[in-house]
Amino acid sequence: MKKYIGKRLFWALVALIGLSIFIFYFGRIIPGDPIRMMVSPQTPDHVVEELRESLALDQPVYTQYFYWMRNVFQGDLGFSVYSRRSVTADVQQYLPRSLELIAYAASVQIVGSFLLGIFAGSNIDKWQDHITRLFSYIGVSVPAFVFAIIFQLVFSQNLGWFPTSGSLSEGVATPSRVTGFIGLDALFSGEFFTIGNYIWHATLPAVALAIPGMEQVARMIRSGMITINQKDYISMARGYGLPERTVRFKYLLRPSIIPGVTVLGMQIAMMLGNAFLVELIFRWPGFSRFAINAMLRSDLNTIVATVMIVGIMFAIINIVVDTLVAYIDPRIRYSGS
Amino acid sequence: MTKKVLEIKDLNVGYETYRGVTDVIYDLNMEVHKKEKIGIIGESGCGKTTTMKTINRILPNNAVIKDGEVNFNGNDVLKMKKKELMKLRRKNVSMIPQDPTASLNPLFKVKTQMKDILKYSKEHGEDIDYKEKSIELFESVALADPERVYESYPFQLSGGMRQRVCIAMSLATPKDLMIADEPTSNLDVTIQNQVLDLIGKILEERDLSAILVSQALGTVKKFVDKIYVIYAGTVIEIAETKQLFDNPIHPYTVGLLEATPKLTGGGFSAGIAGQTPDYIDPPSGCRFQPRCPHYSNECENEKPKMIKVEKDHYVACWRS
Ligand SMILES: Nc1ncnc2c1ncn2[C@@H]1O[C@H](COP(=O)(O)OP(=O)(O)OP(=O)(O)O)[C@@H](O)[C@H]1O
Ligand SMILES: [Mg+2]
Repeated sequence: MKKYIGKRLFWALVALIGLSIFIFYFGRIIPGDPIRMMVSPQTPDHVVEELRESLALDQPVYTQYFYWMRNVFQGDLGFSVYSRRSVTADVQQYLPRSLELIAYAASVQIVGSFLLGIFAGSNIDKWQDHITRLFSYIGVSVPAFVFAIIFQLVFSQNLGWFPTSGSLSEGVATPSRVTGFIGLDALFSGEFFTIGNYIWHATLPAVALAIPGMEQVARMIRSGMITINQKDYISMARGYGLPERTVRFKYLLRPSIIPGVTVLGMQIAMMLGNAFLVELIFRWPGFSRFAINAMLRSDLNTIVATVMIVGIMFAIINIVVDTLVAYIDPRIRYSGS
Repeated sequence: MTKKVLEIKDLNVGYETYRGVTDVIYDLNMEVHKKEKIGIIGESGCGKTTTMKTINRILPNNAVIKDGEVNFNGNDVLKMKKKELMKLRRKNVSMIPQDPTASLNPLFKVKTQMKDILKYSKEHGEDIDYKEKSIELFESVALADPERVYESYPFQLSGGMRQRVCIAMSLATPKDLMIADEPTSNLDVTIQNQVLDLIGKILEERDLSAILVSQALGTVKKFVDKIYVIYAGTVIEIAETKQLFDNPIHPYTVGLLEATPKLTGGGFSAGIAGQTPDYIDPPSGCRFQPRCPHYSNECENEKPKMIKVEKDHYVACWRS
């Protein structure tokens, strides 16, 4: 098992280095001069060139890459020509908010997809199954931001159950910064009201973000259960006289969820990208909204940092999923590769 | 006559498929008396497993039981409520599967599966030592290194060991009827005889009623008193083992016997031209008529009745 994880870690690292080279190179050959975009049109040429030199943008790409690499290891992601401060500061400010939102959405997605999937899979072709199928069609075909708009209209503007936007109510102070994660920081300082307020604000965007993937994973769990239910080892388990709940929730469920778990991981990894419009709609002060704006302005260092963060998220979630699947399926665990 | 343990009456079973509902088991009748050992033979796909799975109702959920009775000790299994059915499965009927690899859950250790079987059999007290009991069972089926087997996942065992594990599981509680559904057809030729001998030994020692299923007569004839020959979901000949061997009457039985070159396994349908019918639209009358070398018009018009040809020998064929 250790070897199995070690191997995956190694390859994740290789993939991330490859990704960094790729994005670094492409970021620098796309048209548009980042210096010109950052200064006013009247700036004289020699000032532009000086700036270019001071940011090392006049050097060959590989030299720039090594400078960048060296700085990354010192915690410096470079200067953002969009926010006019260090990318590290931007990441520290915005990323925790998005990660918290995603963690919330992921929890909703995991719980929801399992409940729906098992609910449908245990009642094949009965009304429960048809209802969840209807939900799934809606969930799969409607993108997250549409849910965001509908939820905002219905649950905050019409019914007033949830706040329309933002992450904390007016008058609720941001807890003093320890980790940058509001939920955690509030927990450390014992401000439970703040936690509640934060969760209340995050609920609609998190649910909107969770729904499309949730429906898809629920379908996979359902069809997993149908497939596994046909296996000889399930009819044999029934034949030994095991109670139906043991057969279903122990012997049937475990093999049924493997494909669902893999897809669930991918869905969660993709949330950072999908969060953009949802963050925009709920004015959630998160990273997706910030990053896309920076990208639209050819802010190179932010682009590279963003892509790397998404890459790292994928890598981490991949390893978690692979480990989980290996934990569920001993054949993978013992094959060693 | 001894007591009937099992009596199947006019059973009809099919499967829901994308082409419609099939007609696999067709008016099948069968009886097993106390302590009797029955052999069932027939080609691949003729409905042997389907019939066996009907006995303790473990058919896949696209199966449709259309009609008939399966009486076990006088109670119709097909009408049983959950509780009675659980009791039947725990105390009365045991099954040795056709494919041990597919019949053990790949994600759970042998000990987990064994433990649940022992636990829910409700045969052993609360204070049962699962490990000790399992190892005892493993020893009774001559599994080498039972401790290791107990701690293993099924994929860490050989095919023969897996089948022995399945046999041990079927013996977890004493049962009235043991069903062995082609217990060796998925095993290496070299260990087929070992496993058959083990089953023979168990049958002898425990004095159970038993049904032994096979594609070939040779495999079962050592162990059974009486043989049912099945074709396309219906019984076409019944006889004492020796009688059937010496004097097969139905053209299908004759073909089946001629095509059994060795004692175990392999290539029988070569002896009879054609193949088992399409169960969506099976042939009318005698289901064997399209393949029968002695076909005549009446075969197509009506299903032949089972008639007695000599003592303990019945056949369903218009020629007799
Ligand atoms: N789950 C299922 N869905 C649809 N058809 C099925 C299903 N299981 C079996 N059948 C069909 O029913 C027929 C009888 O199958 P069955 O497994 O009972 O045959 P068998 O006599 O046990 O054959 P074998 O010797 O190969 O084990 C076959 O035509 C098979 O294709
Ligand atoms: Mg079979």
